Amino acid sequence: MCKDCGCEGVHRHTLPDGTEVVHSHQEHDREHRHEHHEHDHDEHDRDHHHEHDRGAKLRIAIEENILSANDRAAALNRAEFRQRGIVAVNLISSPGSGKTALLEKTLDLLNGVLPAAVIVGDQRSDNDARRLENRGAPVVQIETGDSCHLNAEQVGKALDAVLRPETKLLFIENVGNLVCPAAFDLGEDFKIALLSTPEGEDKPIKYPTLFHLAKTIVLTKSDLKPHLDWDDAECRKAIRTVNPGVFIFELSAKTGDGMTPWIDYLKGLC
Amino acid sequence: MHELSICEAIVGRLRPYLEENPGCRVRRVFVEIGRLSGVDPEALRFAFPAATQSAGLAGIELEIARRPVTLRCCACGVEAEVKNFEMKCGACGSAEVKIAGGRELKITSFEIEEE
Repeated sequence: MCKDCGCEGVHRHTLPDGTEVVHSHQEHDREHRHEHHEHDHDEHDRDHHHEHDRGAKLRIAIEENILSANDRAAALNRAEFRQRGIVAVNLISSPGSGKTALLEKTLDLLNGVLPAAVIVGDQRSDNDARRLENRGAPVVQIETGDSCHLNAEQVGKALDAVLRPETKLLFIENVGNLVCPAAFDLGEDFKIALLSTPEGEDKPIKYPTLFHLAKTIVLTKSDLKPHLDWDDAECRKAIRTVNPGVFIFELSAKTGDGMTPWIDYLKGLC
Repeated sequence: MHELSICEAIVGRLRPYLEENPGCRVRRVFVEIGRLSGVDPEALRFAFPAATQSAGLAGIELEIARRPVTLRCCACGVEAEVKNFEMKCGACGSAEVKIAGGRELKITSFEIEEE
């Protein structure tokens, strides 16, 4: 039943310009709302009726997310993670910011301590999956082809191959991209954004959507700070502008500096 | 950029309706694009004709309504628009805010003509 007008399925009304609006139940509608779309009224139509000489116009209101198919697939993934007691994290960052290097060191340190698994996405190649194998965690590579982000359906198809009965933590290494992955729910518990020092202190302000949505931000390649005249305060300020409450880890996968708090944090999640 | 695949998803959503109602033509489709959705409306407009053409549905117009970023403050309850992506409440200054609007990427309605 429609929660706005109480109708059982189909409701019609006519806008001032003669357009008839049909508000109907589609098979996968959840919410139904009535809206008068102000932006389609011509200026001169506002005060009086017009006879339209075209065929009768009918407006079907659906109020549906364009990515609803992805949302449904993500919900299935989420339910599976919950049912299996797995924490799933979606690692998002620019290409080359150190996602794979961080996972190499992370898997080594979690080996025998916390059962993890990894799904890696790249447009092409299985280089990343190969770097991550033989570190105590199952790894599956997804090649997205022309697509610049992972989607929930791709992740869903990889789960049988990558998850084990004992898996507690799933890392999803997304395609290197600061824009599109933020829009595609994969069913994860939360997003982790990486920012590497060579990218600059103000990156979070330039890509606010991702850095706001992340629950944790990892600042990588901290060993390069001296070569970059890195300004800690400026970076913190940029992060706090878009995400005041976020957890921040600073580390270098290369030197190992800062890895202990990061590993403790991951252990504490599960 | 994936605006073309977004356009293909929009066109794909219209297809079941058209298959069930063969005497109808879609004239316009109305979408809402939030400023935090990661989708560029101009790129969407540019890609749309290609998507309708390849689906054999050329001529459908795309009407885009932009939605601003609005935050709801958990501390004082005020919900307001922010212009500069600064995530704090304009009324009380609290950082405990949730995004209320700006992430929309939806089809709100489509307009058909019975032939």
